Amino acid sequence: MHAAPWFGPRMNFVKRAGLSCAARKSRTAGLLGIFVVIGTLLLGGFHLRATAAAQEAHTGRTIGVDVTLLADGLTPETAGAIAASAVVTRHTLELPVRADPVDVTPRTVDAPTPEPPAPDGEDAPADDAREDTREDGPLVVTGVPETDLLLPFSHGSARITAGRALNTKDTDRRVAMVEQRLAAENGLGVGDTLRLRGADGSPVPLEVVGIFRDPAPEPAGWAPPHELPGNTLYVPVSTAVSLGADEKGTDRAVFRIGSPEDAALLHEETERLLGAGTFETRVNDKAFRDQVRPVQRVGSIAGLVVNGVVVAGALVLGLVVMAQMRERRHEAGVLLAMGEKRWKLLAQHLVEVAAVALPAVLLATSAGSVAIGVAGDALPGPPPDAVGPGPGAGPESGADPGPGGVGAATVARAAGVGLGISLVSTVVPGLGLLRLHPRSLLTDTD
Amino acid sequence: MTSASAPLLQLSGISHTYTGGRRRTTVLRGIDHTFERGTFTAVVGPSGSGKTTLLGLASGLERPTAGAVRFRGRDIGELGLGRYRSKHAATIFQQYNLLTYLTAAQNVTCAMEITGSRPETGNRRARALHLLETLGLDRETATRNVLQLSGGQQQRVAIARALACDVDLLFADEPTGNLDEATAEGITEALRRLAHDQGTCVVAVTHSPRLAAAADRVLTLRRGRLTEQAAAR
Repeated sequence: MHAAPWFGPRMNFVKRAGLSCAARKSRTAGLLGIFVVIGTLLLGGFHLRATAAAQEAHTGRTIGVDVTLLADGLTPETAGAIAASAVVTRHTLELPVRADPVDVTPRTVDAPTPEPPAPDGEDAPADDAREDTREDGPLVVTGVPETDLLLPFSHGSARITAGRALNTKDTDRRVAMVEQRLAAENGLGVGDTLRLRGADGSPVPLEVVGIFRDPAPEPAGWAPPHELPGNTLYVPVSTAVSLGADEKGTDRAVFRIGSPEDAALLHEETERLLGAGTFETRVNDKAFRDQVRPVQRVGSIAGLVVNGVVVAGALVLGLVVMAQMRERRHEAGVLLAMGEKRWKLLAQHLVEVAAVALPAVLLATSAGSVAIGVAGDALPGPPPDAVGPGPGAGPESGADPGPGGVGAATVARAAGVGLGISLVSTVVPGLGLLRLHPRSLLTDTD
Repeated sequence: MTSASAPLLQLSGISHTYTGGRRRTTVLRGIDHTFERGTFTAVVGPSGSGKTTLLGLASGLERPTAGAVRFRGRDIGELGLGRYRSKHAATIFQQYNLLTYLTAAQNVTCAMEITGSRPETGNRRARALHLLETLGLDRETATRNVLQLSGGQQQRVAIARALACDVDLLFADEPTGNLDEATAEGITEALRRLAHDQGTCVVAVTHSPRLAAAADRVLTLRRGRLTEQAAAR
């Protein structure tokens, strides 16, 4: 018994497709070229769109829109509840307190002549004296959930010179960020501990986790210590409370949201928690508009490019394949006259197109890297950590290696679109052609 | 179901009209005829008399505008024109109609694959090469692209392709038209043997008196009507 040849009856259209492609080299090469061009444009467009989306998400997270909430008696708990909203990425508030040092020497400038001591018997009781000291303590301590969102730090006027910023992980920790001049005066470095007097009079030890530089100069003349920019510390909110800060001592909080469109949602959430008419919000989206909108425009243009290429590619491929099918009417007539099934004829054409499209995708992937490099340069400089997966970076960013490379998802998408175009452009004219009787196909030259 | 007692091929009241714009041209008018297995029939007539159209209708390449073509008693439209062409009827075209991206041998094996024809040896390529060789095309010629062959060689490839398919009906449109006398004689003899030795019903449209003379029956088509004349021998 003879083994069935590899091109058995059920596979003859595949074999014919292969022989046809091999025999019609110039036609195959032309079709390959068209596919490569369309595939490259598709890959470039998809990649640009994915990169723009990732960068938009990243920029949105980084820049964001700051919504300032003004409400009487705002507490850290209330602000935290509002910050739990899905649209809020970060939040902060400032809970100020004046604190007394225990083992730290506050900075002073040209101390004024001391006033005469109070007459005997007029000294205040010890407890009262401590209370006065606390209220009028020389150190300005600010309780914050995190320091990055504070205006001086987010706009870059203040900067960290050693260690790190305070963040939400420090919520229940006894840590502090100390102004550079105060740290220098007391020989404090990151990892050292300083002690302030707590609300109950006991010392509160604080580990220095960061040292920052406030650009404000010391006043030229005399000023009380608490007015010196050097006498500033930042601590977590809970620490500020333990130092005597009034939990209802603030009337404003700042919430960072991803886009201006989210402001309405935040307003609804705040209204639900605080009640209508009890608060006011101010939206500052200037930075967002300045930095995110250009990226959005690039993304929109990339989307238009992709759609344009899909339409133009479909038209070009459709016309090319249609023209090829028309010039192969006679061949179709011959095969039908021999009794070939219509679906096999169509399948032969599809196999021929796919046999060209798949290598074209590989070529386009190489060519696309060049186009992507050029397209990537068109985007406003992405931050280094914008490349690669990240929350909110969009579904494509996880599969894309970022500018300079082509992700598998992008290649698969471009290949899918390319094959879809070729499928439609083969099947639609093919169905019209194959409705005809073989004799019509064999005798009609048009 | 086809019937064993029914004629192999029956043309029943066949008329055919071509429509081009407002112009309608009736080519065949009320053709009635039956063809039996093992017979070799020649159809003659002047050019434009409808011979090729008759062949096209009988071979299932198109459907008549009136009447019926029945294979073993069953309308070929019901049987399925594609199935009829692949399983029961093969055609040798006047214009050869070869697949130009294939070699001579591949054209023959391609037809065998489509029709499901499998030689006793099981080797289609060997069968194709053998058939081509009996028609005067050696192996070297058989493995060349058909566009590199002469008209006469292409005609023999077309004939081999039809002979390779194990069918009940073989239709041939001017099968010896481009062949030299000796080769034409060989083709004529091959068709006659196919009918008489293998039981195939062969119907050939021709202008060749020699081919007509070799046929069992000669039908004349004139102004769309078919008449039978006595065979030359």
